[in-house]
Amino acid sequence: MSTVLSGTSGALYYTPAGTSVTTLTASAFPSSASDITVGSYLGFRVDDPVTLAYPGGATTTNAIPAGAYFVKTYVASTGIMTLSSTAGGSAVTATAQPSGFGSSFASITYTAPVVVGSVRDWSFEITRSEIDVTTIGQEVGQYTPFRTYIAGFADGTGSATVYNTDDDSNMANRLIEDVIQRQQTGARMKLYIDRVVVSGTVNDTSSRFINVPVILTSASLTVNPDDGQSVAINFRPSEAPTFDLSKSS
Amino acid sequence: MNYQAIRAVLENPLLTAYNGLVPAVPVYFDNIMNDGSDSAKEFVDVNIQFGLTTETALTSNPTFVRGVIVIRTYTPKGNGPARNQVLVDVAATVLNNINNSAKPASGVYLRTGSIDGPAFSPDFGGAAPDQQSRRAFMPFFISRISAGFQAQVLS
Repeated sequence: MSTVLSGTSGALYYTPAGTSVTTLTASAFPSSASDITVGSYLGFRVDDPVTLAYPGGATTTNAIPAGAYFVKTYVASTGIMTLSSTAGGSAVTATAQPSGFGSSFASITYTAPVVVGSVRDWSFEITRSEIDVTTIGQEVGQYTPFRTYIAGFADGTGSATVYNTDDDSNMANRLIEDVIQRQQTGARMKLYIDRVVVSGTVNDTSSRFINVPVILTSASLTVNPDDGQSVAINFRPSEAPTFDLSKSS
Repeated sequence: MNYQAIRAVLENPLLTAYNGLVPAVPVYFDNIMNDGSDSAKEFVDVNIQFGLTTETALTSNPTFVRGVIVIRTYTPKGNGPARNQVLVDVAATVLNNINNSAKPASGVYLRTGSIDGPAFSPDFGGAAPDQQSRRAFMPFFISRISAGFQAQVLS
């Protein structure tokens, strides 16, 4: 007998806006010390988990190795970032620049979406425009002819309601601030319909979710003496979403 | 469907929590003989009721188990609310812990709704004088918390 999933099986994960740089040339990396020039006014924050990746064929001897790091420092006005192997640890350094990128680029991206705590609900709607291609001159019979349509472009909208909590680390705070983050590249929602945890870790094979790059369009804060404080956040896809609605693959 | 497994998700941690107190506090679940409460100074009573079990659909009715758990905490009357609130806090903490657990791949996934209470009785300051109530003869100060729950038996 099948079981209806309740909303309590769901969850909302978020990759912050402005945390994806995928066009780093070799000159962006230090030949000494630790400063990486990733670009100004991005959305990186101290202790963000990020992944550094070099293009295939790159030479990285004595350069900062590819791998998972934490943001040690990021100065928005200069676009200079340093990385550390552990949160709050010392900055990783290099004694040579990487090389051999060819026409490809290195990237520094937020490692994985992070759970947004205290989410009351989320919704996501995808729509298709319809194009009327009805023609005249049809042969008439007993019944009136029907109009004919073909499907047009897709679009979508989404929203989430998040409770304000007294927790500085709540990703909800960042969601609100990211609405006015100018460069939103990298913002992504992972909308879990059914989040399954195995051995303390979310298992995406068993889970069901919608993964969608987004732009954040609004945040509406509600503060009144009668209700818990909440924030309604709206977003829409910036690219096509991907669906994993199977619990076996 | 496995009502017993769902019940166990709620009852086991409650039993563990109250047994872990010093001294341990007796917990009586549904249809378990309360053979010690006449002499026990304090004890806990847990009642679980199942509500809607299925959703109606056209071809077959999928399961969607819902219910309510009511926990009553009994402590000596006339000694103030402190001890009772300490004991009821144990139950509230257990329910919160259940509610914070993530969905496993197998077993039972249960989440509670909002916790309602604790409500206390007898109400010494209420409109109906306690002396006019049969509860006036009850030697216990009683608190009651309740919470709806939704459960899913995972295959």
